[in-house]
Amino acid sequence: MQNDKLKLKNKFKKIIIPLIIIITFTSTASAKTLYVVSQYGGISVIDLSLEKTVKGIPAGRDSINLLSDPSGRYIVIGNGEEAGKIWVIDRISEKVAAKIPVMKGKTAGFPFFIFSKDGSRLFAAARYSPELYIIGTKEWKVEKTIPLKLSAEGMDISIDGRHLYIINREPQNLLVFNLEAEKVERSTNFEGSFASILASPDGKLLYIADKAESRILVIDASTFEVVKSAIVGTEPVDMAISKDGRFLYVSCRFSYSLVVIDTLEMKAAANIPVGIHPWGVALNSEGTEAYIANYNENTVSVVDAIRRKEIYRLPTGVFPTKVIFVP
Amino acid sequence: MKNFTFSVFILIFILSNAAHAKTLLYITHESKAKVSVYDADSEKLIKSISTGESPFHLSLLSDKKLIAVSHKGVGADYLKIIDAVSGKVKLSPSIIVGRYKRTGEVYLTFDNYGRKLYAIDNNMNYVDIIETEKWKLKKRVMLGIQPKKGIFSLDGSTLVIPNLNSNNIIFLDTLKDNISRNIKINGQPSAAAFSHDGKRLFILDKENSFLLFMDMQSGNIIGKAVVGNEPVNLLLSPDGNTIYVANYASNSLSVINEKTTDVITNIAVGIRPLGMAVDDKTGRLYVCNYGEASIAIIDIKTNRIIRKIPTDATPTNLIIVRE
Repeated sequence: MQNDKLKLKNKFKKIIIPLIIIITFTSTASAKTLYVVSQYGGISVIDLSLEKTVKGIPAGRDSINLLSDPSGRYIVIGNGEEAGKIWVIDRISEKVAAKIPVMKGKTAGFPFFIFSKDGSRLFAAARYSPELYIIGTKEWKVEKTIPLKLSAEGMDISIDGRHLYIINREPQNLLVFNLEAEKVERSTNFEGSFASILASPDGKLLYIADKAESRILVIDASTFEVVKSAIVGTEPVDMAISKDGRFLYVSCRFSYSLVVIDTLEMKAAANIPVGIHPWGVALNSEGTEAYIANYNENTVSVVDAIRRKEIYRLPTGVFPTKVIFVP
Repeated sequence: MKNFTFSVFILIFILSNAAHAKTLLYITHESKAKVSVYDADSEKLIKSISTGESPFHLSLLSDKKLIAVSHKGVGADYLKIIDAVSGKVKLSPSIIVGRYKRTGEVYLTFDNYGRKLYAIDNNMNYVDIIETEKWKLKKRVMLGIQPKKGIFSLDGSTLVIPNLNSNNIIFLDTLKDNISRNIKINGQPSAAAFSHDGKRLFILDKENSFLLFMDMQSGNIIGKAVVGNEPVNLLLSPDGNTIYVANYASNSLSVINEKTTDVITNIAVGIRPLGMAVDDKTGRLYVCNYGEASIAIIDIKTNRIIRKIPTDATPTNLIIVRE
């Protein structure tokens, strides 16, 4: 009898405990989080396995944009706070790690930023500010303010990490900024009204959303010429691309839809109705789900990217703008 | 001399009038129990015709200059016939026996000879075939679930009816008025149109936001183009080369090349685009913006909106009538 109990205990130790550990581990490993920034309502932290908002993090006033650093430890927010238009949030402590004083005295809103490939620097610009800011991420301090004639509408970094691509509103151009020389290497004017820019994963192409003509321009990243274009819905605003570069997801603000472009043919493959005035788009790591912030509906749409259908919507703060997926 | 001058004046007056035969737009207003008539040249409202409650669809019997108007809703008149010349309600045929009170959207199509009127009721799921001599019901044929507007083949021998919720296209032989063919669609067919050569059928799939290209002989889908949310209506340019799709829930038109299936452009047309008509003489496309009380005028050469005419609420469907 005693022996039997001991056996059972041993069995428990040998099998059940490791099993519990494995289950706990896999469930933490598969914990998937969505961060949605809202203009009037901070950041909503959504647990995708629970399909609900689990936390709210204050993000300052007029928060528009957010980004995760390459390590996934920090989240950067652009807002309209005079004492620091960029806030850095530590994901572990969930506290503001830094407030970066950039764009002093400038009109609030619409900051754009991107990390260097190694995560050591953060580059920032804004719609109403002509300068480019280079921020060291060790202490979250502005290292350099480079006077340029920017009126940024979006930016991305080249695959080799040596160039920044910045699209501007006035004039309507694409600037290629050499990060080593710290100089504008090239400026190309385009017809249209730009909303965002995205480099293809292989770095060979640049996609630019043009609101004026409801289209996505495809630009050869070596010649900077328009090689193709695809018609989408009314006012394309934000884009996300699958890791293999095959599918481009475009939110179309005034046609209330997410358009999926097959980049092989550079043709729309699907139109997925989402909420009212969709804005920010993000994909999960596997590219099986897409997330869209519906600005005028205070929701985020979760889309099955394989079946190309919306699965459900979750409430967010007031006027959600951007969304990021953190594994 | 005086008489001669007078005669010349009269002659000039008659000629100039003849040269300016008016083009009229007849527009139903679902929430307003009326049909409004606009002069297409001056873009001014010239008449309002009181019809029954919730006028919905209209169709022109061109040689008799008569317009059939359908109505929807509880207690609504089913059908009224308007004289296109006088702009007055000429007939209220009471042809329907044993109908439910609640009528759905009724889509009207005259046959190529003007002898029969096909009235498709999307709530009752049938087509009433009405002979136009005495406006009597000739036959009633059950269709699929939520049938939409029927369109005729080039020779007029077939009426093609998309059925939204039974996911099929029904072909009605109009000689015998029997169903002759039934094709399943993977999606919700909401509207259809024939290519000018009659070899292909263009079908809107409301559920999946597609314009489907069907080969008429095989019944196979041979191509598709992505359109916007809830495509509800489509129309071909007079030369047959371009397809215009009204995306009801995206407030836009998708413009598609009929041969390549490529989407040429997207037009932010207005809120809830629904009825459309194209004037083959001026190349102007008129679109009812149901949700914003306007008619958008589009130049189909440039695919740009020329301007919008403000109208009374809920412009639903429209037809072009030459005086």
